[in-house]
Amino acid sequence: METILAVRNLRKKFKTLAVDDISFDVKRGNIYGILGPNGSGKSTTLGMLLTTINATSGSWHWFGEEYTSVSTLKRIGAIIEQPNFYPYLSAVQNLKIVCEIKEIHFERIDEVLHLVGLHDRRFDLFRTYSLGMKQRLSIASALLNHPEVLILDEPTNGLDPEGIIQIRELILSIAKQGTTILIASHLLDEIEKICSHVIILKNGKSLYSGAVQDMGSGVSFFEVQAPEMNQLKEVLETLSIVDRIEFKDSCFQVFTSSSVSASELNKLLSERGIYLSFLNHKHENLESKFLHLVK
Amino acid sequence: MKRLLKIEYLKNFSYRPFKIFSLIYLSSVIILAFVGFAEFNLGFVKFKLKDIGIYDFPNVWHFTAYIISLLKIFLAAIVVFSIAQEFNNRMFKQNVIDGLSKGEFLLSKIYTIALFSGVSTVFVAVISLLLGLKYSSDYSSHEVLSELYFIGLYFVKVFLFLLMFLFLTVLFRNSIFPFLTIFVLWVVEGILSASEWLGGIYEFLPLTAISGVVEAPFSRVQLNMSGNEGSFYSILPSDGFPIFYFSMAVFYIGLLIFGTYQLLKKRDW
Repeated sequence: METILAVRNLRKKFKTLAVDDISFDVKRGNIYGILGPNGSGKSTTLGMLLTTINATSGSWHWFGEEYTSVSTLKRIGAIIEQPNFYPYLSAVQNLKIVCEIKEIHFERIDEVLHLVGLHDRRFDLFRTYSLGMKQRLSIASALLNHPEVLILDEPTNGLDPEGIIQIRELILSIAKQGTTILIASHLLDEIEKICSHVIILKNGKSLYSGAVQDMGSGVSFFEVQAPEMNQLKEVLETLSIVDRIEFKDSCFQVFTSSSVSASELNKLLSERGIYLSFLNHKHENLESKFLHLVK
Repeated sequence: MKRLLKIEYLKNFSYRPFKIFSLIYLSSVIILAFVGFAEFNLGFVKFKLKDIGIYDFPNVWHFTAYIISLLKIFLAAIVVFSIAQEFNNRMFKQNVIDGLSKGEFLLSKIYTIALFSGVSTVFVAVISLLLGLKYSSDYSSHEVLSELYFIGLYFVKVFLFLLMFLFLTVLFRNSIFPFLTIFVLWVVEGILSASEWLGGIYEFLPLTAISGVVEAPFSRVQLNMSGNEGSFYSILPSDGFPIFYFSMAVFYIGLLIFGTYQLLKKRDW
């Protein structure tokens, strides 16, 4: 698969190190999530890749060309942090400016406004829009040039549940057309539902970069309960297959060293006189993987 | 250039402060152009400015250029408000992300400023010409055009003045500090020039350059005691082309464009 973006050893120092030696690749056609708590360097990283922030060191290539040229930016659609438009202009007037900057035809304006469902409000001033509409307008704006890569920084920030679903469906339908998408978010849920790949940042460092399913190499665990919890714990501690036990939500979470099936565990316990009242084989979801990684 | 001006047109045409200050500027220019009709009452001496001869060729170029240049603060207001909102609304950042380079952004603002200065210069030229034709007694071509260079100097004066505001607005990213800074600079340069402190250093400061390019013409008006030919006043010939201040102005124009570009480039947005 073609590499669209290759980032190598990217660093940015403000007063402290905001981005510390980050490297990752973006391949065509995938949806990438840049994941991390607030202040982990997501927006700074995107800012450097979009030329609004000057990198301290490191390099990157867009479409094989070093750094970000104006012509590269015209192949990208990007939304950062919040929808930015001239508040005293209408949607159409705002998009005309973007068209002029990107050197594309005004005809496209009607198409993208239909796509995001703002066509009826196209002559209204931007400042009269609700947050959801503003967010949709910025997606429309980012789609004007049929971008090869769409960059979204916190696209559902501040939206109500309905707005979040609308935006998510919009993103998925754009992705279906083969557009590569890069989403920065601190909402794990959102990333898990959309992304095929993730880049996890914490304190400016990259903790993981790769496919979602490869993350944490498929760690799974069992949730178990028995009438006599103390006895259960004693027995579990004697089992050689058990790596680690954690007590959570009135269950023991049992992590095993090798791949052990639920029936095997059940059998081992019943042989030792423990009859489980609850047994659940759980695969780590993105959230627990993430928490595991940033710990 | 056409693309950048079109972007500027789309950005500014519906911007209210732009419309308001354009209107104020235009109406003030028209009012001031005819200020000579006003009658001044100096004690018991009553006279009309036009009787002094400021509307005569070639003096009219200098006097009109100077008087209308007093209104350049309104043009500065247009520049400051329309550029400050680019930063307040985070539009500079968005423009850059959309694919307008920082250099293009600066160029679009310089073109706009040049256009304002240019249009204003045309006003001055046309008004001077009309006033001159109406009141001047001498139409001999040599006389008429001998001080025409004041029109070119007027352009430089306004252009430099607006560039200073462009630089300060980019520096402070708001609309109040540019005016405050210019005011403070004006006071400081005034004190320096009055006290001659540090020798003639004030001669090298930007506002002095701006005022030196088209100097206040009133020192040229002489009270004519002999009173012959029915006029109490006569007007001295101009001091000639102000080579020093013109050079200082060109230097500052270069410096300010360079400085603004560095600000846009080096900062993190």
